[in-house]
Amino acid sequence: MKLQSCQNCWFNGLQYGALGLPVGYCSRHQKILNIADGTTCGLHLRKDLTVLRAKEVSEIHKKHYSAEYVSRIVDGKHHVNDVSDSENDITHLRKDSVADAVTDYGELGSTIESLAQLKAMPGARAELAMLSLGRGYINNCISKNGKWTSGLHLYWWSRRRLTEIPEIKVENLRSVGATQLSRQSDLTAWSLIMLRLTFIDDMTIYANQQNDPLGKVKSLTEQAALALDSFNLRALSKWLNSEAAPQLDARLSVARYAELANELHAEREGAAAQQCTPADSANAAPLS
Amino acid sequence: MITSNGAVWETLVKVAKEESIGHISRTELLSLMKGNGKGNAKWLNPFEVMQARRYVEQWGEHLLDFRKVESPAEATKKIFSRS
Repeated sequence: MKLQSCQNCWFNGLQYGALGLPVGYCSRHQKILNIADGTTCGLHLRKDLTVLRAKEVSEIHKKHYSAEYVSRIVDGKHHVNDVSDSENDITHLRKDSVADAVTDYGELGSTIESLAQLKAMPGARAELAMLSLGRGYINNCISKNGKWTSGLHLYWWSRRRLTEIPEIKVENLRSVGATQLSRQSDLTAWSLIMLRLTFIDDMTIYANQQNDPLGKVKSLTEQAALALDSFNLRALSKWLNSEAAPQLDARLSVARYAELANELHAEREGAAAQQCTPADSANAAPLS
Repeated sequence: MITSNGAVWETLVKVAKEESIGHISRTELLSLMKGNGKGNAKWLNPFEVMQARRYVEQWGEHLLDFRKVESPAEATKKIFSRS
């Protein structure tokens, strides 16, 4: 498991650990990733860490790899066959509905629409893509002095499904690694729930920076790690229901969500809101 | 171990131990990585410890420990052979 590889990067919405398609897709370089477990680049942000730690690690990583191209981890060089943007390959990839939305992301002026599309799709892979690309979207809005509420709807969608255990179907797995199939499914479900919590931690960090009450919620990823000493999905579900959800709801209730959503809507109507354009969020933005 | 030319190199725990290289087994790693981690696995962030523990189980990871080896580069050359 190479944690600095493209499979573990925010900008690859198609893969995370054992979950995903045989190929990845980089929304920054707009390339199909043929060997995402063996490649990286200087823009890499680790999916398995919360935003501040991911950025800390990325500062070191980018000293060793170019941001301009996808390179092999072992030698830092670009190998032509590691990636593809040929029309045939993209067309083939787009036959998968999640991959279709992921490749649309940022290309057609539809970042938030693509994320909404992913939210509406069933399945673990769609959720992975929404969370992974969503983190990049919000981080970019924040780096452009945007409000934490730029991710309000994404937060709310994640909160609503927070306590559900995702179903990992056999066709969702890229490999079973060193474990039995059923155990790999459980560990993969666990990793997806942790990605939800990581996304929510990111949101509480941004909210805290802007003095919103949601920012008072202490890191749920750390709380979960201290409360649970085995990878038992039933115990995790119980903890999410009894501990995590009430903390979040105490800071951001349905009523407050509706109020903030109305404010956002009013600001956009008045063209006063800072909005993230697709070019900002997917292509041209610096990662601060 | 995979090198830049794509070759796969392999070794055995037994061979590594003959060169005084330590071995931290999967079972030992799993037992150390709870909460904030124990002993040498102690870490500030318990979430990162938990993620690492999941990787150990999910991918059957175990470690060679070169900390007490005088010349890790030399030892590596000795113990690995091309598969």
